[in-house]
Amino acid sequence: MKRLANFYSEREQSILGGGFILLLIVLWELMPHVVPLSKGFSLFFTTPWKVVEAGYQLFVENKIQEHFYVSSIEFLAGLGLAIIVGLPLGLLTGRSRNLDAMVDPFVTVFNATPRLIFLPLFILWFGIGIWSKIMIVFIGAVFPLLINTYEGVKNVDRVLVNVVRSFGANEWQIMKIVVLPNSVPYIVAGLRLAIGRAILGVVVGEFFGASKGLGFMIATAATNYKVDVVFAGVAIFMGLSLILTMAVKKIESNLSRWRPEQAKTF
Amino acid sequence: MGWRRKAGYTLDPFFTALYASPLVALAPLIIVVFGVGLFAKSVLVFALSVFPFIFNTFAGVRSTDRLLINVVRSFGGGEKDLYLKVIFPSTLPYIIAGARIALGRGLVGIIVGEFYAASEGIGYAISRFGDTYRLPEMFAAIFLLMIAAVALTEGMRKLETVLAPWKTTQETR
Repeated sequence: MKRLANFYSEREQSILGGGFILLLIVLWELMPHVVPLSKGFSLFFTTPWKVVEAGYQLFVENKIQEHFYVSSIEFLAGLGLAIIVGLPLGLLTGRSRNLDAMVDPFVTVFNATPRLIFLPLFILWFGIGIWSKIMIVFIGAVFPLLINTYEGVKNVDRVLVNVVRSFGANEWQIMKIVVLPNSVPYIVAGLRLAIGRAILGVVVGEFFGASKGLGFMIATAATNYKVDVVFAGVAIFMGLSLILTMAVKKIESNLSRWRPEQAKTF
Repeated sequence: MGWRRKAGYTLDPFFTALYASPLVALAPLIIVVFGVGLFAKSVLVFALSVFPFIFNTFAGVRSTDRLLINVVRSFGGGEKDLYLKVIFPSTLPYIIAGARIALGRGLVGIIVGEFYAASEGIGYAISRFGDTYRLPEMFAAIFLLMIAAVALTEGMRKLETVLAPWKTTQETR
Protein backbone atom coordinates (compact mmCIF):
# COMPACT_ATOMS: atom_id res chain seq x y z
CA MET A 1 0.00 0.00 0.00
CA LYS A 2 2.79 2.35 0.90
CA ARG A 3 4.66 1.48 -2.24
CA LEU A 4 1.58 2.26 -4.23
CA ALA A 5 1.29 5.64 -2.55
CA ASN A 6 4.93 6.33 -3.31
CA PHE A 7 4.46 5.29 -6.89
CA TYR A 8 1.54 7.67 -7.16
CA SER A 9 3.22 10.66 -5.58
CA GLU A 10 6.25 10.27 -7.80
CA ARG A 11 4.24 10.27 -10.97
CA GLU A 12 1.25 12.32 -9.86
CA GLN A 13 1.55 14.75 -12.74
CA SER A 14 1.55 12.23 -15.55
CA ILE A 15 -1.04 9.99 -13.88
CA LEU A 16 -3.52 12.81 -13.40
CA GLY A 17 -2.87 14.26 -16.85
CA GLY A 18 -2.99 11.00 -18.76
CA GLY A 19 -5.87 9.72 -16.67
CA PHE A 20 -8.02 12.72 -17.46
CA ILE A 21 -7.56 12.31 -21.21
CA LEU A 22 -8.27 8.60 -20.92
CA LEU A 23 -11.37 9.32 -18.87
CA LEU A 24 -12.68 11.75 -21.48
CA ILE A 25 -12.12 9.22 -24.24
CA VAL A 26 -13.90 6.49 -22.30
CA LEU A 27 -16.81 8.83 -21.53
CA TRP A 28 -17.03 9.73 -25.19
CA GLU A 29 -17.09 6.05 -26.14
CA LEU A 30 -19.77 5.22 -23.59
CA MET A 31 -21.96 8.23 -24.28
CA PRO A 32 -24.21 6.72 -26.98
CA HIS A 33 -24.84 3.68 -24.74
CA VAL A 34 -25.95 5.80 -21.81
CA VAL A 35 -27.71 8.77 -23.40
CA PRO A 36 -30.13 7.99 -26.20
CA LEU A 37 -29.28 10.23 -29.14
CA SER A 38 -31.81 11.70 -31.49
CA LYS A 39 -31.57 10.58 -35.07
CA GLY A 40 -30.43 13.95 -36.40
CA PHE A 41 -27.68 14.20 -33.87
CA SER A 42 -26.36 10.70 -34.32
CA LEU A 43 -25.64 11.61 -37.93
CA PHE A 44 -22.86 13.84 -36.68
CA PHE A 45 -21.77 11.61 -33.87
CA THR A 46 -18.98 9.15 -33.74
CA THR A 47 -17.05 7.29 -31.10
CA PRO A 48 -13.29 7.00 -30.68
CA TRP A 49 -13.38 3.34 -31.61
CA LYS A 50 -15.10 4.08 -34.91
CA VAL A 51 -12.51 6.76 -35.57
CA VAL A 52 -9.73 4.25 -35.06
CA GLU A 53 -11.49 1.79 -37.33
CA ALA A 54 -11.94 4.40 -40.04
CA GLY A 55 -8.30 5.38 -39.75
CA TYR A 56 -7.21 1.76 -40.02
CA GLN A 57 -9.49 1.18 -43.00
CA LEU A 58 -7.99 4.18 -44.82
CA PHE A 59 -4.53 3.01 -43.91
CA VAL A 60 -5.18 -0.42 -45.40
CA GLU A 61 -6.59 1.14 -48.56
CA ASN A 62 -3.40 3.20 -48.83
CA LYS A 63 -5.44 6.41 -48.93
CA ILE A 64 -3.88 7.97 -45.84
CA GLN A 65 -0.36 7.46 -47.14
CA GLU A 66 -1.27 9.12 -50.42
CA HIS A 67 -2.83 12.19 -48.80
CA PHE A 68 -0.14 12.32 -46.19
CA TYR A 69 2.57 12.30 -48.83
CA VAL A 70 1.12 15.35 -50.60
CA SER A 71 0.51 17.23 -47.37
CA SER A 72 3.99 16.60 -46.06
CA ILE A 73 5.58 17.78 -49.31
CA GLU A 74 3.61 21.00 -49.07
CA PHE A 75 4.56 21.39 -45.44
CA LEU A 76 8.26 20.70 -45.91
CA ALA A 77 8.64 22.79 -49.06
CA GLY A 78 6.80 25.75 -47.58
CA LEU A 79 8.64 25.60 -44.28
CA GLY A 80 11.98 25.12 -46.02
CA LEU A 81 11.34 28.16 -48.19
CA ALA A 82 10.36 30.14 -45.11
CA ILE A 83 13.60 29.18 -43.39
CA ILE A 84 15.67 30.04 -46.46
CA VAL A 85 14.07 33.48 -46.71
CA GLY A 86 13.22 34.27 -43.09
CA LEU A 87 16.55 33.56 -41.40
CA PRO A 88 18.88 35.68 -43.57
CA LEU A 89 16.34 38.47 -43.74
CA GLY A 90 15.95 38.43 -39.98
CA LEU A 91 19.72 38.51 -39.49
CA LEU A 92 20.10 41.37 -41.95
CA THR A 93 17.28 43.48 -40.57
CA GLY A 94 18.60 42.92 -37.08
CA ARG A 95 22.06 44.20 -38.03
CA SER A 96 21.24 47.00 -40.43
CA ARG A 97 19.24 49.94 -39.20
CA ASN A 98 18.28 51.20 -42.65
CA LEU A 99 16.97 47.85 -43.77
CA ASP A 100 15.11 47.52 -40.51
CA ALA A 101 13.34 50.85 -41.05
CA MET A 102 12.42 49.79 -44.55
CA VAL A 103 11.12 46.33 -43.75
CA ASP A 104 9.56 46.87 -40.34
CA PRO A 105 6.20 48.39 -41.40
CA PHE A 106 5.58 45.50 -43.78
CA VAL A 107 6.45 42.95 -41.14
CA THR A 108 4.20 44.58 -38.56
CA VAL A 109 1.24 44.75 -40.89
CA PHE A 110 1.64 41.26 -42.28
CA ASN A 111 2.23 39.77 -38.90
CA ALA A 112 -0.95 41.29 -37.53
CA THR A 113 -3.11 40.03 -40.38
CA PRO A 114 -3.97 36.39 -40.72
CA ARG A 115 -2.02 35.42 -43.82
CA LEU A 116 -4.76 33.05 -44.83
CA ILE A 117 -6.62 35.88 -46.54
CA PHE A 118 -4.16 35.53 -49.38
CA LEU A 119 -5.36 32.04 -50.08
CA PRO A 120 -7.89 32.93 -52.81
CA LEU A 121 -5.28 35.15 -54.39
CA PHE A 122 -2.66 32.41 -54.35
CA ILE A 123 -5.10 29.95 -55.79
CA LEU A 124 -5.67 32.41 -58.63
CA TRP A 125 -1.98 33.01 -59.17
CA PHE A 126 -0.50 29.58 -58.60
CA GLY A 127 -3.41 27.32 -59.51
CA ILE A 128 -5.04 24.65 -57.40
CA GLY A 129 -1.99 22.43 -57.49
CA ILE A 130 0.67 22.03 -54.89
CA TRP A 131 2.24 25.47 -55.39
CA SER A 132 -0.55 27.56 -53.97
CA LYS A 133 -0.33 25.55 -50.75
CA ILE A 134 3.43 25.82 -50.60
CA MET A 135 3.08 29.57 -50.94
CA ILE A 136 0.44 29.83 -48.24
CA VAL A 137 2.58 27.70 -45.91
CA PHE A 138 5.56 29.86 -46.76
CA ILE A 139 3.86 33.18 -46.09
CA GLY A 140 2.39 31.84 -42.86
CA ALA A 141 5.66 30.49 -41.52
CA VAL A 142 8.10 33.13 -42.69
CA PHE A 143 7.01 35.93 -40.36
CA PRO A 144 7.42 34.18 -37.01
CA LEU A 145 10.87 33.06 -38.13
CA LEU A 146 11.85 36.49 -39.35
CA ILE A 147 10.61 38.27 -36.26
CA ASN A 148 12.23 35.89 -33.82
CA THR A 149 15.54 35.94 -35.65
CA TYR A 150 15.37 39.73 -35.66
CA GLU A 151 14.57 39.72 -31.96
CA GLY A 152 17.50 37.42 -31.24
CA VAL A 153 19.93 39.58 -33.21
CA LYS A 154 18.66 42.70 -31.47
CA ASN A 155 19.16 41.20 -28.04
CA VAL A 156 22.79 40.43 -28.66
CA ASP A 157 25.17 41.66 -25.97
CA ARG A 158 26.74 44.92 -27.16
CA VAL A 159 29.83 44.30 -25.06
CA LEU A 160 30.54 41.02 -26.81
CA VAL A 161 30.15 42.64 -30.21
CA ASN A 162 32.53 45.42 -29.21
CA VAL A 163 35.09 42.95 -27.88
CA VAL A 164 35.12 40.97 -31.09
CA ARG A 165 35.27 44.16 -33.10
CA SER A 166 38.19 45.47 -31.03
CA PHE A 167 40.08 42.34 -31.91
CA GLY A 168 39.64 43.23 -35.55
CA ALA A 169 36.69 41.15 -36.63
CA ASN A 170 34.73 42.22 -39.68
CA GLU A 171 30.94 42.21 -39.96
CA TRP A 172 30.86 38.63 -41.21
CA GLN A 173 32.95 37.38 -38.32
CA ILE A 174 30.83 39.26 -35.79
CA MET A 175 27.82 37.54 -37.28
CA LYS A 176 29.42 34.13 -37.05
CA ILE A 177 31.03 34.37 -33.63
CA VAL A 178 28.57 36.43 -31.59
CA VAL A 179 25.28 37.14 -33.29
CA LEU A 180 24.36 33.74 -34.65
CA PRO A 181 25.01 31.70 -31.48
CA ASN A 182 23.09 34.29 -29.50
CA SER A 183 20.03 34.10 -31.72
CA VAL A 184 19.80 30.33 -31.90
CA PRO A 185 17.24 29.91 -29.09
CA TYR A 186 15.11 32.67 -30.56
CA ILE A 187 15.30 31.05 -33.96
CA VAL A 188 14.24 27.71 -32.55
CA ALA A 189 11.34 29.35 -30.72
CA GLY A 190 10.40 31.00 -34.00
CA LEU A 191 10.60 27.63 -35.68
CA ARG A 192 8.08 26.26 -33.20
CA LEU A 193 5.64 29.04 -34.04
CA ALA A 194 6.36 28.61 -37.73
CA ILE A 195 5.54 24.90 -37.58
CA GLY A 196 2.14 25.70 -36.11
CA ARG A 197 1.44 28.26 -38.82
CA ALA A 198 2.68 25.90 -41.52
CA ILE A 199 0.33 23.14 -40.43
CA LEU A 200 -2.50 25.66 -40.34
CA GLY A 201 -1.57 26.66 -43.88
CA VAL A 202 -1.56 23.06 -45.08
CA VAL A 203 -4.93 22.29 -43.53
CA VAL A 204 -6.75 25.38 -44.73
CA GLY A 205 -5.01 25.46 -48.08
CA GLU A 206 -6.25 21.98 -48.79
CA PHE A 207 -9.80 22.73 -47.73
CA PHE A 208 -10.21 24.93 -50.78
CA GLY A 209 -9.18 24.03 -54.24
CA ALA A 210 -7.23 20.84 -53.74
CA SER A 211 -7.59 17.32 -54.99
CA LYS A 212 -5.22 15.58 -52.60
CA GLY A 213 -3.92 15.93 -49.09
CA LEU A 214 -5.16 15.36 -45.56
CA GLY A 215 -7.05 18.67 -45.43
CA PHE A 216 -8.86 17.71 -48.61
CA MET A 217 -9.66 14.34 -47.10
CA ILE A 218 -11.19 16.01 -44.03
CA ALA A 219 -13.21 18.49 -46.07
CA THR A 220 -14.70 15.88 -48.40
CA ALA A 221 -15.42 13.53 -45.52
CA ALA A 222 -17.28 16.30 -43.69
CA THR A 223 -19.44 17.08 -46.71
CA ASN A 224 -20.22 13.37 -47.03
CA TYR A 225 -21.13 13.12 -43.33
CA LYS A 226 -18.30 10.69 -42.69
CA VAL A 227 -17.60 12.09 -39.27
CA ASP A 228 -15.27 9.28 -38.24
CA VAL A 229 -12.98 10.01 -41.18
CA VAL A 230 -12.95 13.69 -40.21
CA PHE A 231 -11.85 12.81 -36.71
CA ALA A 232 -9.27 10.36 -38.01
CA GLY A 233 -7.76 13.17 -40.08
CA VAL A 234 -7.91 15.61 -37.20
CA ALA A 235 -6.25 13.04 -34.95
CA ILE A 236 -3.40 12.66 -37.44
CA PHE A 237 -2.88 16.41 -37.54
CA MET A 238 -3.04 16.54 -33.76
CA GLY A 239 -0.46 13.81 -33.34
CA LEU A 240 1.84 15.35 -35.92
CA SER A 241 1.79 18.81 -34.46
CA LEU A 242 2.24 17.46 -30.94
CA ILE A 243 5.27 15.43 -32.01
CA LEU A 244 6.79 18.31 -33.94
CA THR A 245 6.17 20.82 -31.16
CA MET A 246 7.67 18.51 -28.58
CA ALA A 247 10.69 17.79 -30.76
CA VAL A 248 11.37 21.49 -31.21
CA LYS A 249 10.84 22.11 -27.50
CA LYS A 250 13.40 19.42 -26.77
CA ILE A 251 15.90 21.02 -29.13
CA GLU A 252 15.11 24.36 -27.55
CA SER A 253 15.91 23.21 -24.03
CA ASN A 254 19.05 21.44 -25.21
CA LEU A 255 20.35 24.47 -27.03
CA SER A 256 19.56 27.04 -24.39
CA ARG A 257 21.00 25.09 -21.48
CA TRP A 258 24.19 27.12 -21.43
CA ARG A 259 22.50 30.46 -21.15
CA PRO A 260 21.30 31.86 -17.83
CA GLU A 261 18.13 33.61 -18.89
CA GLN A 262 15.34 32.01 -20.84
CA ALA A 263 14.71 33.26 -24.32
CA LYS A 264 11.33 34.75 -24.97
CA THR A 265 9.15 32.04 -26.28
CA PHE A 266 5.55 31.52 -26.89
CA MET B 1 -6.49 26.06 -12.52
CA GLY B 2 -3.18 27.78 -11.95
CA TRP B 3 -3.84 27.99 -8.26
CA ARG B 4 -4.95 24.46 -7.64
CA ARG B 5 -1.90 22.38 -8.38
CA LYS B 6 -3.71 19.12 -8.98
CA ALA B 7 -6.22 20.69 -11.30
CA GLY B 8 -3.26 22.03 -13.26
CA TYR B 9 -1.72 18.58 -13.53
CA THR B 10 -5.00 17.09 -14.61
CA LEU B 11 -6.01 19.56 -17.26
CA ASP B 12 -2.67 20.69 -18.63
CA PRO B 13 -1.86 17.79 -21.02
CA PHE B 14 -5.39 17.81 -22.37
CA PHE B 15 -5.39 21.53 -23.11
CA THR B 16 -1.87 21.42 -24.47
CA ALA B 17 -2.90 18.73 -26.90
CA LEU B 18 -5.86 20.78 -28.03
CA TYR B 19 -3.87 24.00 -28.20
CA ALA B 20 -1.01 22.57 -30.20
CA SER B 21 -3.25 20.87 -32.68
CA PRO B 22 -4.70 22.74 -35.63
CA LEU B 23 -8.32 22.95 -34.56
CA VAL B 24 -9.17 24.62 -37.84
CA ALA B 25 -9.20 21.10 -39.17
CA LEU B 26 -12.56 20.80 -37.47
CA ALA B 27 -13.96 23.72 -39.48
CA PRO B 28 -15.77 21.62 -42.11
CA LEU B 29 -17.34 19.49 -39.41
CA ILE B 30 -18.42 22.50 -37.37
CA ILE B 31 -20.04 23.99 -40.41
CA VAL B 32 -21.78 20.74 -41.26
CA VAL B 33 -23.09 20.43 -37.72
CA PHE B 34 -24.03 24.05 -37.02
CA GLY B 35 -25.03 25.20 -40.47
CA VAL B 36 -23.65 27.95 -42.67
CA GLY B 37 -24.96 30.78 -40.53
CA LEU B 38 -23.37 33.06 -38.03
CA PHE B 39 -23.41 30.51 -35.24
CA ALA B 40 -20.99 28.07 -36.84
CA LYS B 41 -18.41 30.83 -37.25
CA SER B 42 -18.88 31.88 -33.66
CA VAL B 43 -18.23 28.33 -32.53
CA LEU B 44 -15.12 28.14 -34.70
CA VAL B 45 -13.79 31.46 -33.43
CA PHE B 46 -14.47 30.35 -29.88
CA ALA B 47 -12.70 27.02 -30.35
CA LEU B 48 -9.63 28.75 -31.76
CA SER B 49 -9.35 31.66 -29.39
CA VAL B 50 -10.25 30.16 -26.01
CA PHE B 51 -6.93 28.42 -25.46
CA PRO B 52 -4.63 31.45 -25.40
CA PHE B 53 -6.85 32.80 -22.63
CA ILE B 54 -6.65 29.58 -20.66
CA PHE B 55 -2.91 29.26 -21.01
CA ASN B 56 -2.01 32.84 -20.32
CA THR B 57 -4.29 33.05 -17.31
CA PHE B 58 -2.73 29.82 -16.10
CA ALA B 59 0.78 31.21 -16.53
CA GLY B 60 -0.25 34.47 -14.89
CA VAL B 61 -1.75 32.87 -11.81
CA ARG B 62 1.29 30.65 -11.50
CA SER B 63 3.69 33.56 -11.59
CA THR B 64 1.87 35.42 -8.83
CA ASP B 65 4.30 36.59 -6.20
CA ARG B 66 4.19 34.15 -3.28
CA LEU B 67 5.23 36.91 -0.94
CA LEU B 68 2.13 38.97 -1.71
CA ILE B 69 -0.07 35.97 -1.12
CA ASN B 70 1.56 35.35 2.22
CA VAL B 71 1.10 38.99 3.18
CA VAL B 72 -2.64 38.86 2.49
CA ARG B 73 -2.87 35.59 4.38
CA SER B 74 -1.01 36.99 7.37
CA PHE B 75 -3.40 39.88 7.58
CA GLY B 76 -6.27 37.47 7.71
CA GLY B 77 -7.40 37.60 4.10
CA GLY B 78 -9.62 34.76 2.93
CA GLU B 79 -9.63 32.92 -0.37
CA LYS B 80 -11.80 35.65 -1.89
CA ASP B 81 -9.40 38.41 -0.91
CA LEU B 82 -6.56 36.42 -2.40
CA TYR B 83 -8.27 36.22 -5.74
CA LEU B 84 -9.50 39.80 -5.86
CA LYS B 85 -6.53 41.62 -4.40
CA VAL B 86 -3.52 39.62 -5.47
CA ILE B 87 -4.10 37.00 -8.09
CA PHE B 88 -6.38 38.89 -10.41
CA PRO B 89 -4.34 42.11 -10.65
CA SER B 90 -1.10 40.24 -11.18
CA THR B 91 -2.71 38.01 -13.80
CA LEU B 92 -4.32 40.82 -15.77
CA PRO B 93 -1.33 41.62 -18.00
CA TYR B 94 -1.09 37.96 -18.96
CA ILE B 95 -4.78 37.85 -19.75
CA ILE B 96 -4.50 40.84 -22.05
CA ALA B 97 -1.46 39.37 -23.75
CA GLY B 98 -3.52 36.23 -24.21
CA ALA B 99 -6.31 38.31 -25.66
CA ARG B 100 -3.92 39.63 -28.28
CA ILE B 101 -2.95 36.14 -29.35
CA ALA B 102 -6.57 35.06 -29.25
CA LEU B 103 -7.40 37.98 -31.50
CA GLY B 104 -5.14 36.71 -34.27
CA ARG B 105 -6.47 33.21 -33.99
CA GLY B 106 -10.03 34.46 -33.91
CA LEU B 107 -9.45 36.33 -37.16
CA VAL B 108 -8.15 33.12 -38.70
CA GLY B 109 -11.34 31.44 -37.55
CA ILE B 110 -13.53 34.09 -39.14
CA ILE B 111 -11.69 33.96 -42.43
CA VAL B 112 -11.57 30.20 -42.73
CA GLY B 113 -15.20 29.90 -41.71
CA GLU B 114 -16.25 32.47 -44.28
CA PHE B 115 -14.07 31.07 -47.04
CA TYR B 116 -15.60 27.73 -46.43
CA ALA B 117 -19.29 28.45 -46.32
CA ALA B 118 -20.88 31.84 -45.96
CA SER B 119 -23.01 34.33 -47.80
CA GLU B 120 -21.74 37.44 -46.06
CA GLY B 121 -18.58 38.72 -44.46
CA ILE B 122 -15.19 39.94 -45.47
CA GLY B 123 -13.73 36.46 -45.96
CA TYR B 124 -16.63 35.62 -48.21
CA ALA B 125 -16.08 38.86 -50.14
CA ILE B 126 -12.42 38.06 -50.68
CA SER B 127 -13.01 34.56 -51.93
CA ARG B 128 -15.93 35.59 -54.12
CA PHE B 129 -13.98 38.44 -55.74
CA GLY B 130 -11.14 36.01 -56.26
CA ASP B 131 -13.41 33.46 -57.90
CA THR B 132 -14.72 36.05 -60.32
CA TYR B 133 -11.27 37.50 -61.14
CA ARG B 134 -12.14 40.92 -59.72
CA LEU B 135 -8.69 41.56 -58.35
CA PRO B 136 -9.06 45.29 -57.53
CA GLU B 137 -12.06 44.63 -55.31
CA MET B 138 -10.31 41.65 -53.82
CA PHE B 139 -7.25 43.67 -52.88
CA ALA B 140 -9.50 46.36 -51.43
CA ALA B 141 -11.08 43.76 -49.16
CA ILE B 142 -7.69 42.34 -48.23
CA PHE B 143 -6.36 45.78 -47.33
CA LEU B 144 -9.47 46.52 -45.32
CA LEU B 145 -8.94 43.40 -43.30
CA MET B 146 -5.26 44.21 -42.83
CA ILE B 147 -6.09 47.65 -41.49
CA ALA B 148 -8.66 46.17 -39.13
CA ALA B 149 -6.20 43.57 -37.90
CA VAL B 150 -3.44 46.11 -37.28
CA ALA B 151 -5.85 48.46 -35.53
CA LEU B 152 -7.12 45.69 -33.28
CA THR B 153 -3.64 44.45 -32.41
CA GLU B 154 -2.31 47.91 -31.69
CA GLY B 155 -5.45 48.75 -29.74
CA MET B 156 -4.92 45.68 -27.63
CA ARG B 157 -1.35 46.75 -26.96
CA LYS B 158 -2.60 50.18 -25.87
CA LEU B 159 -5.19 48.57 -23.66
CA GLU B 160 -2.43 46.56 -22.08
CA THR B 161 -0.61 49.66 -20.92
CA VAL B 162 -3.83 51.38 -19.83
CA LEU B 163 -5.34 48.52 -17.87
CA ALA B 164 -2.18 47.19 -16.35
CA PRO B 165 0.26 50.07 -16.08
CA TRP B 166 2.00 48.38 -13.16
CA LYS B 167 3.46 45.68 -15.31
CA THR B 168 4.48 46.61 -18.80
CA THR B 169 7.53 44.46 -19.23
CA GLN B 170 5.71 41.18 -19.64
CA GLU B 171 5.60 40.48 -23.32
CA THR B 172 4.44 37.29 -24.85
CA ARG B 173 4.02 36.79 -28.48
